[in-house]
Amino acid sequence: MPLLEVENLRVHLPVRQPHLFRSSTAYLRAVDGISFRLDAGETLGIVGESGCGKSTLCRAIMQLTGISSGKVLWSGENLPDLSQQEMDRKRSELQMVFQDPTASLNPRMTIGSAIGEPLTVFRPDMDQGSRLQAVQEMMQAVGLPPELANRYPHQFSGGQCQRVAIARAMILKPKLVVCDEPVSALDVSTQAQIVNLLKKLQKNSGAAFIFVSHDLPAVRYMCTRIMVMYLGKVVEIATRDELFENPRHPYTRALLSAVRHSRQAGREEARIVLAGEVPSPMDPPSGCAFHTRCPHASQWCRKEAPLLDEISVGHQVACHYWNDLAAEEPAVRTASPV
Amino acid sequence: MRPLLRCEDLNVRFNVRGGVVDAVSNVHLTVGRGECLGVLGESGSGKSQCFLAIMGLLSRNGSASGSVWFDGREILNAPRKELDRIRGRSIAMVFQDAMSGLTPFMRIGDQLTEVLVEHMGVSEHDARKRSVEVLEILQFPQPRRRLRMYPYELSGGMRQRVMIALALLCKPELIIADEPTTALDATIQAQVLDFLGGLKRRTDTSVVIITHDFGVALELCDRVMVMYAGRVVESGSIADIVSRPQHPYTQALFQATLGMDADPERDIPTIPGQAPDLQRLPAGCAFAPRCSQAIPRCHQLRPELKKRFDGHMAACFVEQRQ
Repeated sequence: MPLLEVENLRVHLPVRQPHLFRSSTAYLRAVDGISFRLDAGETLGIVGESGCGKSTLCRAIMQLTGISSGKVLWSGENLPDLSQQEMDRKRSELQMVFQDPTASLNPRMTIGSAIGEPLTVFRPDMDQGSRLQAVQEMMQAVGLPPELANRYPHQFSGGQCQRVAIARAMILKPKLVVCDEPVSALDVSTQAQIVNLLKKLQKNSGAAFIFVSHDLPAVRYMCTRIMVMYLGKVVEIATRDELFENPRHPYTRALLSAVRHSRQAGREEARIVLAGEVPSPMDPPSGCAFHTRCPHASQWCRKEAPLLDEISVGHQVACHYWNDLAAEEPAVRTASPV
Repeated sequence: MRPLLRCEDLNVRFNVRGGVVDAVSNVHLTVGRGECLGVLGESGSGKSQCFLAIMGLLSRNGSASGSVWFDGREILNAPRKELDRIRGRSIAMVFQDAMSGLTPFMRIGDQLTEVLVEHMGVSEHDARKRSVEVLEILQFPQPRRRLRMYPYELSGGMRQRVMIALALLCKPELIIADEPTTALDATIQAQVLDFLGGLKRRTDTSVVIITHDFGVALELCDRVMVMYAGRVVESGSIADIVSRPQHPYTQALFQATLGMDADPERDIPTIPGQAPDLQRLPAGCAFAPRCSQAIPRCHQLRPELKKRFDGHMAACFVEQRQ
């Protein structure tokens, strides 16, 4: 049995449309029918641009937001069916690290008590001595000198605060850690430190990780399997090497080319520049949601949404033309400015 | 030829509670016509403050000293009237955060035309025409319709392009772009970079790109200046900076930037420690406490920026093997 199995998950958030006489409610389809599975100890990367629903997906897995339909099976148990008390008990197994470390820490709590708080909540029988010891060990594991335990978050840099947040998530030895853009708010030199730390913790703890980021090199470095999202849907999911060497969805290709181009010294490789913007999830396009920006879109794409096809073991793509795009070099479209 | 922008011994100091902060110290720089200069550094390195000072946009507790010449005229601490003639018209600035750069209660169209009417004295009608033109150049979808919209109705990428459009309207000679793509998504970032690259190629507009991203600098810049703790630690052509960086900080920063070729089985090389507190800078080189190549002298004396080879300067006592 997989550790986590998400089945056809939908999160449609109500948005009030005010009107003088007849206000109505529209629905923002943040997560629109997502299925995937995660095995124990595995690291899954989720990439996509802002508004694609990757953060909402995380929150739905963690039961921090209500879901509209679908299942979130945790070791076979459907989390949305649990009562509040039952879910609260489960939380020691699922932990989350947020993007902005300074916002996710209580400014009035010393970092020692912040890291120890999960223990006070979930292991009330633990005596103070062993709790203190656990906190010190955890601080060492995340690279914080234990003598700093009595300081407050404002005395720390962003990178150090993120270490505190990670320590707090890891101290209960969870089975799953969901990291939502854990390094985006940090400086380059600090980013590398935190990515190394997460990688080390993941190896040593054996916990499964979901690593959400728009930073492809970081996702490639951290994860063994990667899922690409666009407008609330999965467009491609594959193992790391398969996705980076053999991307099939036009959107994945554009994302990869945007990064490859800017990171390498040679500028000869033409970049795929997508036209237009990500459409609004309030009013997603008909058919394939990507058709408005896709260089290969046809009438078929405008009418019918492609299903997620398994094209080889573990590699799924949602594109009508994945097979035709296989041999072809990525189509190059360059904006023509000035 | 006379450089378009020349800056000598620029210093920026802020009065804060408990003393002063020297945010920028002893910066010399030139930007030639049609040239693109990249200013690389992490947060707190002084890269933004340096150009805010040049533009006369420091916050009230800040003061700048030194000399800045734009097209041969001294502009540092010039009276506001004089600056207003240059700002917007000859030098334009694109800020990182497009939401706070635009007035929230003014339609996009009014914000764009206002600039033209104010600076160029053209008629409302011509201003509107030119605005649409610039938005079209920026591949802004449905520009005519969107002129009636308010900033909140636009996506981040569109807002950023309105900011760039504002900067382009008066055909400035110099554009200073502060992290122009940082807040944008990968595919939108690609669009904006593509546009800025094209602008540089097709017109002889000079561009300064302030960024923390090596990739952005690599793509657009001719020359790069690396800043650390308020000082320039290295400057040179982008090719030299990448292929033979002379300062250990530049080397470390480049290595710490995750590339698509990083080996997932190995640790990323990191820069130990954290950026220094500008109020408590060490006596010697500010980078010495984090530097793997530091020698005893680095902790006592501050190295001056010295020529290493043609067109390349570095502030470091340690000679690099070529």
